[in-house]
Amino acid sequence: MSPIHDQTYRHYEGRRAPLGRSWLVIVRAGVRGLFSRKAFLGLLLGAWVPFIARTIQIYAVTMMPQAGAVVPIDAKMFQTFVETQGLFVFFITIYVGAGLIANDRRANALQVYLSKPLLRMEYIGGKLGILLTFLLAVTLLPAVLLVLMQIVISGSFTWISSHAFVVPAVILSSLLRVLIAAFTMLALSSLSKSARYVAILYTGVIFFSEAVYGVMRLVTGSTRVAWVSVTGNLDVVTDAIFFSEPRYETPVIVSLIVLAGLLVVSISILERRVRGVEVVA
Amino acid sequence: MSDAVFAVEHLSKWYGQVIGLNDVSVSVPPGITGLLGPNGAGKSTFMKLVTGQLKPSKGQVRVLGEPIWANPKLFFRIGFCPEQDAFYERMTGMEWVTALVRLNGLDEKAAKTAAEQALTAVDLMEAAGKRIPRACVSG
Repeated sequence: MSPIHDQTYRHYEGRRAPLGRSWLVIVRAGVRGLFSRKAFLGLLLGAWVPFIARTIQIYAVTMMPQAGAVVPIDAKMFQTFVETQGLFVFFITIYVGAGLIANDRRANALQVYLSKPLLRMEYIGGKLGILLTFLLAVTLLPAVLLVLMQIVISGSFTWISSHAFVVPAVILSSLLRVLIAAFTMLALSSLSKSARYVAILYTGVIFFSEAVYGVMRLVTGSTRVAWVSVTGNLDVVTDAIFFSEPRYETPVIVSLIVLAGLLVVSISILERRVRGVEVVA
Repeated sequence: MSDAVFAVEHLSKWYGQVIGLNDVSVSVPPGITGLLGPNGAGKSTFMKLVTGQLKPSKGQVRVLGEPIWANPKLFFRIGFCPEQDAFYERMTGMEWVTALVRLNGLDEKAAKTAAEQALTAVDLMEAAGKRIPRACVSG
């Protein structure tokens, strides 16, 4: 081997992806890394059990219409399905999201990332992409497939033509849950260097807001205060999306404003925290 | 100077009310240049400004003739080695270097080849498959 100073520096002359594609590298690396963890694969597979159960329900009702009196195939079933998947959204958000930025901060890697031809938005987009990939795989994907299963098993478009709103409803409600969870978690992950602490923080945000709502409901005797709870707001908007009877007295517009506010706060935190150099003024 | 690698003019940086760098103008030609100064002189601040890690409070920084701030395209042409260690303990040297090269826009195969060349150049190919031990890098 010859000494380093004897080696002439040569510029790379091969092909190079243009600026703006690096976020895909981050997504691919993140997704690949998580697929190699058996515990996580188990969690992903578990998230599809409700889909299998609902498919069996659709099959049973199609074969024996009288079963529809007990377990009807209606918009409410699809709404319940989306809400059930919320449990898996919670666990996957914690498992995947807690360390997304926190681990980079712990390894001092943010400065390295941002001294590459990579926009800050690309870095955040890449991290968001990892979380969204898995969250959509347990919400939007099974929900849309369930609608397709209804069409395939019944062998006609009769049901779907009379419940046409179910398709946009499952898409909208799934996206809403996924986006709120992903942005909130990413913002929290940018606040700390410890993934464990971020996981506790996220759990705290969800359960503490629910507990505050429980106390306020007892004090006021009204469900109008559900806007203080993250899950309460999601339920209020989901009820509106599915045209189902509201479970809370909170106006939909109030819940929408709270959820939009949560998104704005999360984006603002990310804008402030995702920097190569931390400036303490 | 048109052939300068980088040039700064009246560059200043404040951290709140604390001044980090005060009205610096300098032009650095190609070749090896050292930056010396006592503690608190602003060497780190200066390096962070000329590598686009910090936004100047006043003045301008041009690297290879272009402003560096908010111009990530320039990072296709320059390299930056931070003063702190930065790596993931779970990754091997080869994985980490390859990942960094991938962020420069090279595809997986080209990135692996480039990483191998770089590690060979610094005689680290034998250790390339091992996880990066923090103690060795810091020591």
